[in-house]
Amino acid sequence: MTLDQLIQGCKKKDAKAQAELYKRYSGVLFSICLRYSPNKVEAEDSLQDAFITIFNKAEQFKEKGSFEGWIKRITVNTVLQKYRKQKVFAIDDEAQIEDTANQEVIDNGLPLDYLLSIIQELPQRYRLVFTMYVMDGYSHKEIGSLLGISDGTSKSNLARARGILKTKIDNYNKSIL
Amino acid sequence: MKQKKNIDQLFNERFANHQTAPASHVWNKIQARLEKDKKDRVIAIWWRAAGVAASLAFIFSIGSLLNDPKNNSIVEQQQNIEQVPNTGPNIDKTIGLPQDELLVTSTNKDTQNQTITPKVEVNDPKRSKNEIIVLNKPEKSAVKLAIKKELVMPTKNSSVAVVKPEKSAVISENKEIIDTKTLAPSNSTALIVAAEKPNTNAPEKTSIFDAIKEQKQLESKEAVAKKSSKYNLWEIAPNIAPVYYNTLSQGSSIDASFADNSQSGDVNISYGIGVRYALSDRLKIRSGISNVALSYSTGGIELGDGPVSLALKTIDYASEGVVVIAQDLGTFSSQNQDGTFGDITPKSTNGDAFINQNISYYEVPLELSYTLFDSAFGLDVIGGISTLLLGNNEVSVTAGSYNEVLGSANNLSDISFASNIGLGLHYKMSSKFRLNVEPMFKYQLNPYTDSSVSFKPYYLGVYTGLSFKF
Repeated sequence: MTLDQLIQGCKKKDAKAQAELYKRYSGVLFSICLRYSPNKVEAEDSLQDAFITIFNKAEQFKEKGSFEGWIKRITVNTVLQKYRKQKVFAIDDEAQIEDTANQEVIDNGLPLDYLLSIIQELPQRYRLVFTMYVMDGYSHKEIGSLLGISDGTSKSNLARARGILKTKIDNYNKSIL
Repeated sequence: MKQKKNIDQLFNERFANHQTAPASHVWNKIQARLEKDKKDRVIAIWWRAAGVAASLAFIFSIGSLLNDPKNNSIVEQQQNIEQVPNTGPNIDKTIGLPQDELLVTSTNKDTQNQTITPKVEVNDPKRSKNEIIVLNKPEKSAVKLAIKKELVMPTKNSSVAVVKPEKSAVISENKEIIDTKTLAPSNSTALIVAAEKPNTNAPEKTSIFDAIKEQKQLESKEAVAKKSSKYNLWEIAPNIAPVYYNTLSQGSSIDASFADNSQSGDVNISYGIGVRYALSDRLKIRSGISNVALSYSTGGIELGDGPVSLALKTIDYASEGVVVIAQDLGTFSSQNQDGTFGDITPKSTNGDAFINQNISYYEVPLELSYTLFDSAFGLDVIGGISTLLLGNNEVSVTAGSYNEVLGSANNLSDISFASNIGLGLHYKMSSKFRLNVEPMFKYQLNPYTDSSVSFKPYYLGVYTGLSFKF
């Protein structure tokens, strides 16, 4: 089944095409859900919701853009919808945040599972901002509008997230030495 | 390979092409949801079609009610028929003819000159061998009705009578005298067989025998009509109804801890087919089968993931191991005081969480209906019991866009009963078809196997449909 056939099939709500779409893209989309969620079970819930949305909205996909990009955006939006309303922690004092963009860590083959686990352990909004900015290439402006926060808050959340991750990786590196 | 890396670069690179296959149950759940959405869509389409059909039926029936001239003529005819037996017995007494052989009506007399103006015409002598001579002298305040002696009447009482109300006397050629006192006990009304006009040869006049014939025909028609309605003892009635499910008491069927939570009944659909048999003109016995879907949601809960052993005891979970657990709001946070959630991981949900219980029954009612009145529009009272066979039984949780089926409730009776009471409104669209609207209240008698459940459910439905007599 070519990608075009797959898309046309999904637009017609063809069960075979839907199964094929899931087979092809569930791995990539589940990775996104895992990075945005606090644990695996919630990531599975989000993946489920994302696929339902994709299947229901397939007919709205315009052939111009990348299909993979479109389903990834739907997945991110689905997860964000779930978490953005939650106010989990106090607003940071933006002025006191240092620029952490150049922070470096030692990577002597850090396991992927470990990296994923420390992302998941981040406070909710730090995790969202870090993942969106670092791994999915959203700007602070975009993050701000998607999460309903200011650019400044997005920047400070990112700095905090980097700080926490650096500390954890440093500790991890020390513990295995 | 010990190297320093920018932290953003590290994560970006490592997760760039990362893929993780989700567990197989994720796809199963997606499939189940797609299936459910499909089913919901079909029901929604059907419901819309039923609504359109009901509206069209209503519009047509109103239209035919306004335009159909037959309706009026039927009513008039019935009134004529009804008049006859009232006047019959009086005549019978005085003239001695069988009750059903005369068509006579009462007339009001002018009290001043005692003129009699009979309404019923006895005329058209041509059509009969019998000759009737009618002598009507209004100026003398008397009516003479004479029938020639050689006439052969069905009975021997061929009479020629002259009725003179003033003198209270009747002269008869065959010596039979009828006292007008028996004919007209009061002066206000007289029952007279007479001619309307002085012109004895008026062609529009009907002979008494024709009148009798006519009357017989009318009666036989009526009898046929009655007989034919008796033939339509059976009636078949497909119906559809929005049903609202709720409880008469506090308490929760799912868990006692939810007794004080916000609970609300939902509106679902019942559809099926009914059969009715007329025991008499007014009494009918009714049965049939229908599928009734009921649902009920409980709010004020929170969700978490945990082992099945910690989950609600009234639910048989579809999956083993870690399941979604619903608890009264605040239960998790109280567990959190010692810094842990125990074995339960609270779920982050978008919006308030609800437990939804969806039940469907196959309902077989056994009811009696009694007709209070029955014309174009009619009204019945309906009462009886229903046997409910448990069909679908599902407990699910929702929170915003999140939706998960937990399993089935294990405290529902497979067979239970409900007591039914309601009203039946109907409109006769034709002699065979009726439009029925029946608001019914159904109280469930033993829905739960566990008698300690203080949940007392009932459902209300407005059953609408067309019925067909055969």
